[in-house]
Amino acid sequence: MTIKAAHIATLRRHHLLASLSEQQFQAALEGCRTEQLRPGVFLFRRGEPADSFFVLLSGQVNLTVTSKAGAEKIAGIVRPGESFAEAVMFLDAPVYPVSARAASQSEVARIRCDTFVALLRGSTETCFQLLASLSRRLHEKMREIEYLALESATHRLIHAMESRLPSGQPEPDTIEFVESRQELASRLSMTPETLSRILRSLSDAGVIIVNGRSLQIPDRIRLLSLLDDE
Amino acid sequence: MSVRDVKFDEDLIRRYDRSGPRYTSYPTAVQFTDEFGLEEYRTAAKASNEDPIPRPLSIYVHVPFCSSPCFYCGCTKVITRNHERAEAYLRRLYREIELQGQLYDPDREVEQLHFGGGTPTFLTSREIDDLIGKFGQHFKMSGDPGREYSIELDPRTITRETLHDLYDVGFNRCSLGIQDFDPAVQQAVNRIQSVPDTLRLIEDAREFGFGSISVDLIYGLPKQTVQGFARTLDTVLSSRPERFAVYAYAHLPQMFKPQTQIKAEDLPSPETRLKLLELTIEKLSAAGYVYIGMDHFALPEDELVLAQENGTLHRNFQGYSTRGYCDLIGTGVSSIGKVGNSFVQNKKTLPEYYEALDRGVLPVHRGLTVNRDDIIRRDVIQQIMCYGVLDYAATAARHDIDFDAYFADALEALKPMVDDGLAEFAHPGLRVLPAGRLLLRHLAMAFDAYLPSVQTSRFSKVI
Repeated sequence: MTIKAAHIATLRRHHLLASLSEQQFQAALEGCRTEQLRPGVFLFRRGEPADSFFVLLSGQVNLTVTSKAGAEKIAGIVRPGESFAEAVMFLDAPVYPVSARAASQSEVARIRCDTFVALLRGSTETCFQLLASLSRRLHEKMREIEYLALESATHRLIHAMESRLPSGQPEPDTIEFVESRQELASRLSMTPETLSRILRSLSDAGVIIVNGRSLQIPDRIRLLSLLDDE
Repeated sequence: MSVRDVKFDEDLIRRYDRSGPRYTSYPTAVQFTDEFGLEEYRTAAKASNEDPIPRPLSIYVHVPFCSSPCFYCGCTKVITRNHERAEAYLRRLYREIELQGQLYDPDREVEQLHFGGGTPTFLTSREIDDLIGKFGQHFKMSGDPGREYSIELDPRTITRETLHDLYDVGFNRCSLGIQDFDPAVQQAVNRIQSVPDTLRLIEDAREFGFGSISVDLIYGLPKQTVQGFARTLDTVLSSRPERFAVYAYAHLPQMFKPQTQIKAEDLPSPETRLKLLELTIEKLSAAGYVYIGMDHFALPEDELVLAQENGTLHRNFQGYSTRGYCDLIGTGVSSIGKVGNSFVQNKKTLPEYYEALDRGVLPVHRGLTVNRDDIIRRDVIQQIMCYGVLDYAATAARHDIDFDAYFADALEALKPMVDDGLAEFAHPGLRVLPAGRLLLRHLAMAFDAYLPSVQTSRFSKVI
């Protein structure tokens, strides 16, 4: 068991581990090890037997699905401090429903499902944390399905911007895109060309100011009002 | 935004007559290293595709051939009259365009295309037309009428028909090499061109629809006299080109072989060089031209002047540009590109350039990925070279630095120049004074982190 102190601190703060007693947390660490991933390497592929879930410690991991024709679509982007694949621990004969691939040099903590399920029996608070996070994710996915199925590309992009805005009212609002335009476009089910075209038209209309990967929204109300126009 | 007036102060110019970089880039090409190779270039190109709105593209095409040598020239070129050499070159250039095209996302528009040389019109109109078609197959060429296709013309060899062909294939900007009309000078530099042919070419270009027509002159050439250059200036001014580039001849025969043909005793004295510069500034100012900075002048309505007013002017390898926001792809032998925060230069000789492309790989020679300090200093040097005004607070905010602490050494180095009246410490920081506008690069040199470590003889004299 050689996990760096900084990583232990990250794990301790994670909502699925924060409510555990010290003894329970140590037990969770027993079933945990860290792995380095080089860019482009798969952590797991869709359909592989699933015995662990993960917390990303550094870097970026993309969750992807591949169409029959071979086109890869990004279903989710994981940032440091976030967990993924924890839902698999409640499935019979669990397999991973998506593939996970490192987008940059990354480090993950692998936590064994059986160890964690045993701990859950002893920590009601952690069960509630897990339920809350799974419910939040379910809700997000419902919204995503709605956007992808029903909304125009412009609407999808504006919703994506809105969801990244800080909730307070510091104006002007700024969003820093951590993902590439290819990744963002894939997530929103559009081509990179379409993504840039929409951003350019919003920029020409003065609704947003784009500077490299940073995007400024001088007037949030005006941006959101575009959702009513179409 | 900018400081406009320029004052010729002979005493100051004499005292500051030292070598220095021209800052067509920062860091300068001297800093490029072969640690930057093909893989680094691919990485830079890939990253440039990843912004939410990727930058538009600008493409430079180098045509290295000339049918005869001009003795003052320091460009990368090959002297030949054999047209088959152009065909051999074009085969490799086509291959390079295919390989470059694979690196950039297909929706990135090419807003600017520049043909330089050598002599671009060493190629036939047909070859140039095909070449532009080849770019169109591998890049998305902008359909905007404001897009810029420019070409360097040699008035000695180009006909009215060729010029018309060039306009038809899409060129809308041109620059003409003149240097000096004085027959004695033309003889001494091996470049004979007639006044009527040259002036007619400018008229034709204007008639066909070329804009921002630019002429190149050089002072300090062998056999040059104040009277002769005055006549040249008057003659060119009669056709009122939108832009002038008036360069100082740098005699570095140990670096540029053709210059060994120039006899040192034919070169004008330092006093005459100064008078030629003074004359140029007087005449162009009197004719209503605005001094942009570093050898460049333009009419007040030209977009270079407007860009200087709007704060959108950039310094680049061609001098000054209004499209510095583009990623620049350099194609052809020895060309330099600038993509994101990286510079890349192609192989500098034809055999090396051909060898790489015959193997099917991009002919990357060397390059550089700039660091954070380079980016900060580049910003400062651009402000000086483009606007003559350096805004401390805005610079500090853009880069999250304490300006006074970060540039303590540079500000110290500026003090004697401020005492000499080149600039003043005044809101919003440093303002270049009229007497300092001809010495911009001296002021910029105070901010150059590499200068003490490079040999100054590799750079031309300031004036």
